[in-house]
Amino acid sequence: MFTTQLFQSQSLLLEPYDPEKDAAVEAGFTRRWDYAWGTALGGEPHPISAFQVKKKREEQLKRIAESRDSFLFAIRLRDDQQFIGVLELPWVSWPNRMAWMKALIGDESLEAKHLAEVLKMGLRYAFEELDMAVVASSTGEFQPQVLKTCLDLGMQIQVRQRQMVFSQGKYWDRLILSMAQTEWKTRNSEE
Amino acid sequence: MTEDLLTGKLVRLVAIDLEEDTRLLSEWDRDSEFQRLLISESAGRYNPKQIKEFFEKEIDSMHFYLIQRLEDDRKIGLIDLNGFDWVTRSAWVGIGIGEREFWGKGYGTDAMRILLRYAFTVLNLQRVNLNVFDFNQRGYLSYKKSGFKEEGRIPGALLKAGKRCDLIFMGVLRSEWEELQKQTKE
Repeated sequence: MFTTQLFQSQSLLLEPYDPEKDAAVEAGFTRRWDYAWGTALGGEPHPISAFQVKKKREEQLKRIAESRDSFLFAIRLRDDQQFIGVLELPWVSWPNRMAWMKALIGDESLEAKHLAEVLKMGLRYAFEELDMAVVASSTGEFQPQVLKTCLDLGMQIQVRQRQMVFSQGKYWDRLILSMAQTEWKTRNSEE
Repeated sequence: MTEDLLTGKLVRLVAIDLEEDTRLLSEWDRDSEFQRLLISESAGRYNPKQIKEFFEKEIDSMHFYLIQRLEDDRKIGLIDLNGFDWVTRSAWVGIGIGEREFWGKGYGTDAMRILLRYAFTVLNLQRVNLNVFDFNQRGYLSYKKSGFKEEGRIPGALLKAGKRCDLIFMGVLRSEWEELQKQTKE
């Protein structure tokens, strides 16, 4: 009946986040600016401790259980279950059927290899399971790989917030990309 | 004598009185059009006690003001700065005129002018952001007059009165605001 799995792809699994095990690994990921900026777990991007990550993720999971307006998945490699990052829908607006999405992978080489796969899983989940009309995500030219991957998947740059990010000693524009469910269906109709 | 930075030509910005003003805020919400112009989420009703509890919890993370007419001290709307990012020195502004009889008469534009002056000369911000919805033409034009530029829009991001509409992003940089001040003085 269903030809596509939501939580399994060729090389990845979307699993429940486990603060007991995943927080210590994720704390290591926050040494990378891109990851720390993306998670915003510690306010201003900076490395944070395993204790802080565990506390913040536990609070987040509690909030998710209560409000049901956001989602958090641990991304694991299918081969050995290694935790490599998170897929988040940090805000799902049910009245508008609009969701924000971010995928964060700790290691740069794993990001290059798996980002497209996990973003596609996120888009599929948002459009085909949650019935979102629009999904949006933000990045910038300071993350060329992420930007290219989003564009390759069919997301389009809609907003350029000038000088909205400060990294590597200078200001960058924050780009907001989005995709509509109709576009997703057109691009994925053969699957 | 220091100029009162929170007073403009038509209005002044005053701190919220949690006992008195929460009743006013609850009453303004009765006008669902006011809510649809102000918030992206669904309109709802909250009693003064609920509103007071919200502010008791959140007020330290925002700069929230009531907009008060100079002419008769009547409080007619609200304006706030929130979502501060102290690395990029940016924040988001929200504004609404709750009393319908004062729509389109320049009070919102004057309040925004005051808030931007405060944001750039007191808080030392580098940019200020806002969202506006595509059906809010009056707000859009007022923000442009205050110096905001459209930076793009997410098509069909919102559902209002059964129709999909665009979420518009606007921003003003401090350098642009300073240039506008020079032009206004000339």
